[in-house]
Amino acid sequence: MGDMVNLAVAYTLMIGLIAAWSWMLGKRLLDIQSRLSMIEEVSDQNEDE
Amino acid sequence: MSTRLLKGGLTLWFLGLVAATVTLLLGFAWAPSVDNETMNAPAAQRIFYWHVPSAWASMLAFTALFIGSLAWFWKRSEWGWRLHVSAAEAGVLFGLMAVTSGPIWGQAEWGVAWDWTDVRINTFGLLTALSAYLVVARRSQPDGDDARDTFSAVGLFGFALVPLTYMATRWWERRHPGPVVGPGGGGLEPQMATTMWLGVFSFMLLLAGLMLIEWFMVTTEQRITRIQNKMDGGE
Repeated sequence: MGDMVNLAVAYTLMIGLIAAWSWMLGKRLLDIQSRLSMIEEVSDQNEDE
Repeated sequence: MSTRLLKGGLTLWFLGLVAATVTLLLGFAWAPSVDNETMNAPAAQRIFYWHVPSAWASMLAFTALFIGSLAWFWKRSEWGWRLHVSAAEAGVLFGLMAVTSGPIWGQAEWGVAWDWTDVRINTFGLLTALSAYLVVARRSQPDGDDARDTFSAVGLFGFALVPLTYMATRWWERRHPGPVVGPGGGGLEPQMATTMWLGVFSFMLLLAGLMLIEWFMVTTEQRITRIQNKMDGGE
């Protein structure tokens, strides 16, 4: 019975790691996309001027 | 091109998540239990269905880290640097999964979470720590040839640990079990083997997806830097 706890803790940790990584990936992707579109916009404006 | 990379990466990551969930369900509901005489902790043995695939995925990531580091060091190859970055990021995730689940199983099976005299456990821990160092250090440094040289040198040095980690249970088996499949493997019940191979397939999808997404992010970072330099009047 005791090792059922170990089983539950191990999978909770591993699922937590995958979930945290998915969340961080999404956050970094959104951040990088917004930085890219911002800098491209400024660059285009500079070229127009 | 880079949008295709991102779409491919996200698709593989999502498919990997679905396949890993199916593996987990099969591991709990379909694969048979080991008997009490074979193992001290038969329930905790089911940790194996994600522990082994994540360890294999991390070993592949560490190998890719070596190839990328070598390509940068030797040829100043841009794809080599991107491979180095993507592989280091993947090595941390899968290494952490194996390095956290292993001691929890060890505590149930052996009564001790970490054996400092077992070569496999310690070299694997070192590899994961090395990958984490590469990720954290790179993110805190401005990109440049000197920084890349340093990180690639660490990546090359770290690779010495990969064959050592792989062979450790064959040469000096203490606590960590030896191979269960392949030459010299202990063999598995067919349902257990099917579940494990599905787990390996799932984690290969996750590894490929994560590396493609990271590759896209490095490429985009470099694009941003190029535009910034152009605006500043540089190259």
